[in-house]
Amino acid sequence: MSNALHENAQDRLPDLLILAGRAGPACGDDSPPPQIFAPWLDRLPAAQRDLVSILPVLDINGALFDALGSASETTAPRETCAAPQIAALLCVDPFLRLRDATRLLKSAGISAVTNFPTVQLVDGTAARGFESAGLGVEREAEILRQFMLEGFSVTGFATSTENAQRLLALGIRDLVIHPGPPSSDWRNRATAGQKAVAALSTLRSRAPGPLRLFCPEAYGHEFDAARAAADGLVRYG
Amino acid sequence: MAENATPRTGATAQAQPAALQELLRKRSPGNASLLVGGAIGVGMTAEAAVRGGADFLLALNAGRFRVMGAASLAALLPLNNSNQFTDTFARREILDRVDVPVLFGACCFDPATSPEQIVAQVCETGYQGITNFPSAIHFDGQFRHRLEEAGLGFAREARMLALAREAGLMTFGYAKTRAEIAQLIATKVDMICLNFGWNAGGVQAVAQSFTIAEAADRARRIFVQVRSKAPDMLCFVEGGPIISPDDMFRVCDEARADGYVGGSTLDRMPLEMSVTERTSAFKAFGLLKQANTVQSRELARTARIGGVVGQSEFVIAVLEQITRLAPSRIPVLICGEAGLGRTTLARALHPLSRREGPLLTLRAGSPGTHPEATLFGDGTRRQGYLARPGSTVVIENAETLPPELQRRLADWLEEDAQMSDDTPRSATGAATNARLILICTTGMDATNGLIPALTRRMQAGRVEIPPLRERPEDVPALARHRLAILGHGQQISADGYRLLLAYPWPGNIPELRAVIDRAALDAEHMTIGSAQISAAIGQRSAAEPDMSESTRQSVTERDWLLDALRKNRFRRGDTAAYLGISRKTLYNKMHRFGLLE
Repeated sequence: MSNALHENAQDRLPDLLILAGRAGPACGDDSPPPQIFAPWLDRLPAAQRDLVSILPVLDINGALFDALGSASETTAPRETCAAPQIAALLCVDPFLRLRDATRLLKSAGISAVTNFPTVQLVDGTAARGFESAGLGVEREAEILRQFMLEGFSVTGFATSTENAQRLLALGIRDLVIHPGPPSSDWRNRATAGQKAVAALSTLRSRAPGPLRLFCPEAYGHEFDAARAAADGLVRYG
Repeated sequence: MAENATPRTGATAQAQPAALQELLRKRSPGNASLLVGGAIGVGMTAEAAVRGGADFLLALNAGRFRVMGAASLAALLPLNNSNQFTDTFARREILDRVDVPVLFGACCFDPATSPEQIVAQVCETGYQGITNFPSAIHFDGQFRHRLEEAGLGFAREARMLALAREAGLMTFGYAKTRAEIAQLIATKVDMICLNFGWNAGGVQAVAQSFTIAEAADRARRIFVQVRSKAPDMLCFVEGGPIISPDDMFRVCDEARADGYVGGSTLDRMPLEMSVTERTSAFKAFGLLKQANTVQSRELARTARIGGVVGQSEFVIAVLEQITRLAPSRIPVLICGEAGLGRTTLARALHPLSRREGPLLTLRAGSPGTHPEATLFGDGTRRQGYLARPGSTVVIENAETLPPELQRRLADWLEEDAQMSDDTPRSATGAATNARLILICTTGMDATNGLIPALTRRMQAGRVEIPPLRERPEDVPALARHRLAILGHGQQISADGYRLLLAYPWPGNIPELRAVIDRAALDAEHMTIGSAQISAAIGQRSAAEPDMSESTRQSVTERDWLLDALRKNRFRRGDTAAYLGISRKTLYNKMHRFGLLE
């Protein structure tokens, strides 16, 4: 991905949408952009879903697999013109069984996964606790690696340069910088924007693939610089 | 700790739930035991915790995840709707199945469910109380800030607890920081639990922020603050480095806490350990059976003939020692307190050794006995025991033999050792290959009362029988054995076993037998419960005048132990090393003298 790409709006990648449903663009579109399929999304209030999606109020993977299972039972195989879909997975789910997950995803015509929501949102001693219990960033990266070995494309969300580099080291090409749950304080949002710019700048020379930026709706102009520095955006559809 | 327990006022008792009043009563001055809460997630551990004496249960999603094989931390992940998940297993497996209060672990993170709705649902379902778990206290840093900003943090949990209190539920507030504690005090929760983070220990241990010393100090300072503002509030500790009763004792003692809440320490860690050990034992049994069939048969035969019952490592070691000694002519010295079956074991050596001569027993110290003449003859035609070919000579109370006779026995053994088995004996003018077995009663100072020369001569065949209090794991087997002899087909309840295991048995096996006999007689059903066991033990204690001596000794030993514990800041390992005894012995002694309470 060249540096010039994001300087010209026409060169920017189309937005990668996170959707609760699986409706793709109408047949006839040229190479429709991929979408992230997160069927649990509409169960959460829009203002708090970045935060709550990583808390024990719903079964992220259960919702995904239920949606895929019921879809494969009740609908015909997806038409090839629909947008390719990336399954949003909670990779640190201790009960996630790779064999079952890959079989279900493949049978639903999905060949890409992403770590969304990501446990990287949790910081401080809580993050160290997750890591210590084998439910942290390391497990998340390992699960993504195993999906790659199973032939899945992987889009990796990273909340920091360090985590992004960890994903790059696994061979993940498509990265999304996640600024964290938005704060109600604009100063915190501005700080998050600056960090995102710094991360994108640091990773620019090292990332072989596109560098996207996740833009929760609460982020406004304080995110303009980060938006401009990214090759494309990820947002809720 | 009982003396220091905060007196609970009765001023607010009318407004308190009955279950809470019961807990307060248990912590009133005069009731020494700490309260123990079980943070569990499955019916089996709930019932087991209650049988073990848990005063209340917390139904938590973390407990469920643990028995599903995940770390407690999974409780914080979006694996399900925590409230629905917890309610489902609690309704099916715990509520109405235990006779202690059950508190619901309520999650306040879901913006779609208000605290009012949660409290209403908890009341309607029939829980006796509520707690804030999983909680915002488990998060910090930026994520915690976002939670609080979003109105989904600790303030929401405190509000839920306040609503629950108004609704008449028992309220149990988890907190980690002083600010959280202050909020809970303002909320006037009934019980406060200072959490030290996820538990260390076991296969799924989590890295720790606190040492035991730090945890104790932190709890002490915080509980002082709590009690200055809310003297009626029960204070608990949980998690972090507290992974054993020792740790709990140290933290609770130093912090003057009212109790402890165990989660991983009550289910994950003991389950990991016991399942692993039991499986390993079953697996090893098959292998050992192939390799050691002959040895196993010999041990079983020794146990049967020697009347040995038990399964502790001490019993196995004694059986192995006796089995090895049996075919030899090595003199044997059996030491131990009275009531441990020493004479039976000594007598068993005779058939086990397949000796052809007679089994001869001398009870030294009894009126009318003449030990020297009995053993060596009286110069007339009467032959001494030791001159009888192939005989086994058992001397009970050998420590009461006069020193000169002990010296003569030592000389006899010396001479005996210098002769080969086929050499005719000359010391008494008769050919002998007698075997000598001495039984000594070990004193509190662990000496056997024999002169050094005789002790040295007997050293190779010395067998120590530990008192029952040092091997409580043998108590259930002995109790079952006694019930089998009584032949009524009765069983002992888990509560009953708990009492049996907790009692120090100063009278050893005869006292245990008497208690079982009495309890079996009193039991109206086929199951002997804690009431019968307790009554039987009580009767024994009251009726045993010989307890006074041991009690008198105990006072001294208790002071000695307490002094050593204080000098070593109650560090169990250091104290044991300081006293020159094993940790297990120290624990048993502390238990015996009530120093664990």
